[in-house]
Amino acid sequence: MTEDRSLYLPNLAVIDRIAQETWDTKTFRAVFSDPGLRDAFTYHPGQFQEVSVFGVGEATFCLASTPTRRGYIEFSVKRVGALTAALHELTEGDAVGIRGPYGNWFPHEAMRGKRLLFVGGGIGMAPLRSLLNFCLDRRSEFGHIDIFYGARTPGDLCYTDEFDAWRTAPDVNLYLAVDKGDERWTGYVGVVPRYVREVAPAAENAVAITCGPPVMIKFTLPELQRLGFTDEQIITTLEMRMKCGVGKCGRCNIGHTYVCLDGPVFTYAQIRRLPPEF
Amino acid sequence: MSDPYRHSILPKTALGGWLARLLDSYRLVGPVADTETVTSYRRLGPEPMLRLSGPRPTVSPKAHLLPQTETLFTFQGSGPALALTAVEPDATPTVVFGIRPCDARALRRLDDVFLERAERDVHYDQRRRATLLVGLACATPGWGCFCTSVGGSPAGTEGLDLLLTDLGDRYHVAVLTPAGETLAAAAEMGDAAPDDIEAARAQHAATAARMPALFDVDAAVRNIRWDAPVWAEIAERCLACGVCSYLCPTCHCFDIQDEATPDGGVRFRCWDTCQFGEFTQMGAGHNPRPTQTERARQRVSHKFKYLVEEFGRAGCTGCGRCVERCPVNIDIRAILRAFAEEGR
Repeated sequence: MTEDRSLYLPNLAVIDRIAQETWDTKTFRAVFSDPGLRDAFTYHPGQFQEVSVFGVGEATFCLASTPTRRGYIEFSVKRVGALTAALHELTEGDAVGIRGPYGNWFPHEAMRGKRLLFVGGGIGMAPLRSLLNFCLDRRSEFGHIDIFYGARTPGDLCYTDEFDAWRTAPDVNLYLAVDKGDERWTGYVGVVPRYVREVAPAAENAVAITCGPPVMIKFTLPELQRLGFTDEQIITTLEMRMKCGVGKCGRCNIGHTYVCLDGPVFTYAQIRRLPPEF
Repeated sequence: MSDPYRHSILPKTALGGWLARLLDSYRLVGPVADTETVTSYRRLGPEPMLRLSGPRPTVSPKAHLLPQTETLFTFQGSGPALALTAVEPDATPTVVFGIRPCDARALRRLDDVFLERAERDVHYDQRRRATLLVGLACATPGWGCFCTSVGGSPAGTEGLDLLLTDLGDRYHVAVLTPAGETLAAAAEMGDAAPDDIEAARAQHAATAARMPALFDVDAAVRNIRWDAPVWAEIAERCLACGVCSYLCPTCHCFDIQDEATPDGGVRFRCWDTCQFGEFTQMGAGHNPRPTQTERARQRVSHKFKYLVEEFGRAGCTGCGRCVERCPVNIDIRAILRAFAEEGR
């Protein structure tokens, strides 16, 4: 990469696998067209990228894959607008543009040796999946892992293909929850925060990583606090509209904090110091 | 009192010859009359139609560093044949002639964003490095001007290579940088006499005296509050037209979009503003700044609080364009004065 390369020029990649996660969400696996970049590209769980569909535009997605699995990247896309609809139209073999990785990341170095509590909801599981698979690939470096993952219905759960790998990994508990079950659902019915309260994972030497709908986060925080998690022990990601991803376009600031540069990963202690505009 | 720069004199009869020689080596940009009352910084041809009198131009010069619309790259083909072509920024050596001190200072604020914050924006950087600034001291401030209230001066030299002061039949020329020496060498200039230097100083002082500071900017910065009632008061009047941002010499926010053609297309960026509701509207529906109240708070706080926290410098040079051109008379001077006087 030359010094005078434009910040806005993406790298070309080819979609080589598309997984239909739910009725409105797909996970795309992309492989960089440049073999050198394919080998060299790395990132940290929690970082994001700008994905281009040429002729339609560009949008921000977190990396849902783990850098421990090389040669490709993955991102999950819920269809909500023009760009995400265009992504959903793509088929395997189509080209996209990728800029990144951008932003900070989950402090996985500081998490070594600690118990990890993942609390995810809906598509918010995507960045958690990156960190979770990272931790499972380096299992011995981390302590006990509890995974709470909820969605509205069983059909709204993403990454169902990986549930067996998660629950059979050593010293890992997977707690799935749906707001409303169906005839085949035998698991927990109820909201994630209540499930967390019932299971009551220990806060000692633990880090909670949560991402999901604002309403889930809002009700999960008091449960974590009740369990003894401090604001520094709770980590989440913030989502703002972005265009450039590199601190220029002036769109994702919360006070003087640029989510694209200073985030998207924040501790709850940091979030409490931000102006309430997210 | 001695200045750290050289003083020269340019007879006005020599101005045309100087501009013609500069035009051999540089693209020239300067204030041009669009109408009786509207002036813009425009590219100058062999017979420059400069308007060097009157207040600072109606439209800021930022488009010459950050074009209103700029192609970032083009794309051709599709599938495995898809290719991207980078677009080299136009880095033709350029002299902005007759730039006002507020506008030159504003480019330093754009530098903060595009060159200092995180990675360098090469599109901006290549143009910026190719641009020299010949300033013109303001003798007739506009009615909305308030540079002296935000740490500037009608004869401020920040960012300039030369500063011209109109002394009637001649210009006093302060040669401020080595690049300015090069530009001055292309003109038939003589050394300034002590009287000329004194006359320039007297004019600077007289103009500054006509525009006393309207508020204590440090107090305003300290007192800007998240929950101030003024945000809703601004929002009640604001039409969200965005003219304040588009005329502002420091507003830099942009959008990135694609324009498709049958066999490819372009990705471009274009000016945008936090005053538009869509600016922060997310795909799934949430908008962290849902009403004009939050957007009013963002614009003022960004310039006078967030940028001060980040760089130690406000994102405003007091050019007064937003004051003069707001269709509903929203006056940032009054907003800042009210904050400055809170708790006094």
